[in-house]
Amino acid sequence: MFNLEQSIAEWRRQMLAAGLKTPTPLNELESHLREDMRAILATTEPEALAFQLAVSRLGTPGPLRTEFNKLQNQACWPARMGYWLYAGAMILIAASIAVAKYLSVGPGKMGFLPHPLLLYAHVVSLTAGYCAAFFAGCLGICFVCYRFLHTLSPAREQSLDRAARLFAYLATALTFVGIGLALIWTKQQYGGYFAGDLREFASICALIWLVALCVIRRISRVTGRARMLMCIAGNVMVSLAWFGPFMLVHGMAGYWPLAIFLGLNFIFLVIGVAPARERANT
Amino acid sequence: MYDASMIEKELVAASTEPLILSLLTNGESYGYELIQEVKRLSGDKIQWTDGMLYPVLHRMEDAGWIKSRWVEVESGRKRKYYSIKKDGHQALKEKREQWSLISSVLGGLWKGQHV
Repeated sequence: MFNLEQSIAEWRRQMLAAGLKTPTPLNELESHLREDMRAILATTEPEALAFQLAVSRLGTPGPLRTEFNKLQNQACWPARMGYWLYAGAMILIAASIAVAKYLSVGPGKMGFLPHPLLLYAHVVSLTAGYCAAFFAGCLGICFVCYRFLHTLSPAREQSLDRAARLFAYLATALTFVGIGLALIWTKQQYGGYFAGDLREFASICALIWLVALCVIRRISRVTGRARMLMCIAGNVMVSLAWFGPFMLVHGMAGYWPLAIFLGLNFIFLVIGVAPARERANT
Repeated sequence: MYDASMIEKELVAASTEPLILSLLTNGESYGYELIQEVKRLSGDKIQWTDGMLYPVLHRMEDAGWIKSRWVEVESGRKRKYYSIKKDGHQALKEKREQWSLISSVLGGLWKGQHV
């Protein structure tokens, strides 16, 4: 005697044994199976036959597992590496700033005085925000390289775009928080929100750029390439906002790595703006 | 036996995302209904392997083009409904331009040709 619930439970066991482990796809496939069964039964097929037919239409476990597994590995390696590097960099930055503060201020003062803590939080969040913007920019550079080498598949483009979007949003949020904390700190220290420091102006410029980057992503009709090039331009903006004020005060001499970094980004921007070459295959 | 009127699987695969996005612009829907709708609109010439639709839907959801929610329909049965998002409309716009271009190029080439 055919028992539908038992048969479905057995089918689920087979799917799980084949490697379809996550419950959400399996629940959805079961829902589909039941829908199809109902439709087949409406044409007066016997229940057992209707079940067999619905299962065969749904597909065999092997190819289904392969397709669902592809979703897990969709992020291309620069994006995956970016996530891990960023997480590592954040831990390192937070730890090194904490150690620096500990050494310069002392643990007792760090624990009781609000100003150094506020400043510490400001430096960490602004550094994390700027770093996120650089990671988005690096993904933009990967995009340009893939495109230049004719190895930019739609899946890679989507993965890079998704990761760049995440880093851009993260950069905007953290920079916003960092600037907010700086305003509060300045107010506490100097009685006004702005102290007339060039770094204040530079960080606000960087924030405006990052907000524009996020807004354009949401509302404007821009291509994926334009979005990625804007991320590279973000490298230029953020590095100038971060190191530009120091450079203006201390002179160019000690900042030659910044000049090289800016030059490289300009080169990638030019390559990215240029129309794609035909692959030489003759 | 090979049926010449059936659409080739590569073409079916390439058209899956624009088809789903286009169907979802009419309102939210679920996997089974999407399959039936495509069958009906194509006169059974576009045949998706039923289960293979779901990885595509999940990929599109990951890309931020569509979103989903479980809905209880009757006697505890649940369906996962999908609806299009803002980014999905944008993606559809781009895909529409690409397909229109291919269609117009082929149309131009085949104009006056007799096969």
